[in-house]
Amino acid sequence: MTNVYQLLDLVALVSGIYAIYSSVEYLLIRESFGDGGILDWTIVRTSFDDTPVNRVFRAVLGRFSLVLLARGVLGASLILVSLQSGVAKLIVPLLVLTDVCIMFRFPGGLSGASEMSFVVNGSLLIATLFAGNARILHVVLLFVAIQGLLAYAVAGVAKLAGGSWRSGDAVVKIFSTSSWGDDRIFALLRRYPTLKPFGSWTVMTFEILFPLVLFLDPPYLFAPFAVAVGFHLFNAVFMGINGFLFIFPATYPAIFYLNRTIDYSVL
Amino acid sequence: MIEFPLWELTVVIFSLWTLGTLVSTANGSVRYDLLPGKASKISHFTPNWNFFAPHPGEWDYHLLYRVKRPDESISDWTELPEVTRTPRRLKWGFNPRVYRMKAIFDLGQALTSSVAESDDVSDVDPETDADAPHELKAIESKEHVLSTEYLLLLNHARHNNEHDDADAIQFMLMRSSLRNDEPEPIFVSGFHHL
Repeated sequence: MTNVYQLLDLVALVSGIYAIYSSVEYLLIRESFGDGGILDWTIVRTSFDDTPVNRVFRAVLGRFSLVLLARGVLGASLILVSLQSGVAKLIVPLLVLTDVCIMFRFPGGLSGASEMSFVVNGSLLIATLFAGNARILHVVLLFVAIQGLLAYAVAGVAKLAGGSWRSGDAVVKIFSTSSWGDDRIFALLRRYPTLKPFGSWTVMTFEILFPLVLFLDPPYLFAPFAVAVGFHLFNAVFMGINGFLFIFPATYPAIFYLNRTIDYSVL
Repeated sequence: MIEFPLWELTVVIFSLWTLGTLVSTANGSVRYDLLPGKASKISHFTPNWNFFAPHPGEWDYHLLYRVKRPDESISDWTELPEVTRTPRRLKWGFNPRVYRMKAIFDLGQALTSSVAESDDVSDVDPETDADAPHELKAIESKEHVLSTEYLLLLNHARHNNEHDDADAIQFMLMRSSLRNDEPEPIFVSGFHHL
């Protein structure tokens, strides 16, 4: 299946699921955005300069729960409609706006899942606006694929640059926290120290080599995608980072398309 | 009639976006603030794929507060518990608290980094010096007290204060991990009147 429209609809389907999921998660901590919350709007809004654009933006962000509610509805709509339909031209831009609202509502930083959501939905926006232009749709899929591959490969290379990752200490440090870690894994790493470098080098090797997926025959593509989903599942279970599990697979149909575009395989 | 080069424009947009991603990720934190005017906002739109690298998140951050009463007595430190706790049985599939935890982690990191980089070591509150644990000095400089991060943490502590008789409030950030027996204070504010 290398039908561009079908693949883009698949990307949109997964992104729609993440939109619903993230919307519900954010709504469950909505008190954090309200009076006295850790991200109290009355404080965060002061970081916006008083410009006409920001005035509109502040008015929207002041109703953040509504934005999140809309995000869930838009996500559900994206699952149900095709990107070629006229209504998608309304849904996708609004969904991108909710991504932007989330970005600016968190003054510190965002998770990689939120960033990937913006990348995917921003690309889908261009696909929606120019749904009849096959050349543009081709570029959209290539871009989503490249970002998906970069997200894995660059993360692996960046880890390789860190001494604590090469020694395996990074794995111990992460799992010694309750924020990102798990006391059972930490105890296991303390008991069997050789697991430290094994764990960190396994992660780095997988991430760096992931782009090789481009040079596999389609029947073999299932394996690296399954390993990647397994990797995100492990991170969700033991690190609590579950957003990646829902949004990173949105790039897989595009990676499949790039694989077919290159049409060179070693296996 | 000249046809608008849509395809070329799309390629340029995606190329710049990819380049921004690479630059952003390669440097970890590009000084977008050096860009002129609103161009610095571009940092929001370029993803950074440096997950846990090169330096992994290795601490849990805790927000604590204590109050001063009208008779000048000072309460014990109280932790705001909901900031870092995550129910394990739900964590694998549904973990909304990760956002709140990430928020305090990011606020704490930004605040402690800005203090570490600051030349302004003046304005240390002499009153709280002796009481600050592990001789950590209370930060009073305007640069930090007026920052969004500081105000958010202070505001959060103030709203969750359970002492009815409080006259002033002070907050502290501590970090801990299973590698260490004792949590370590990393930032103490001055007292602020309620």
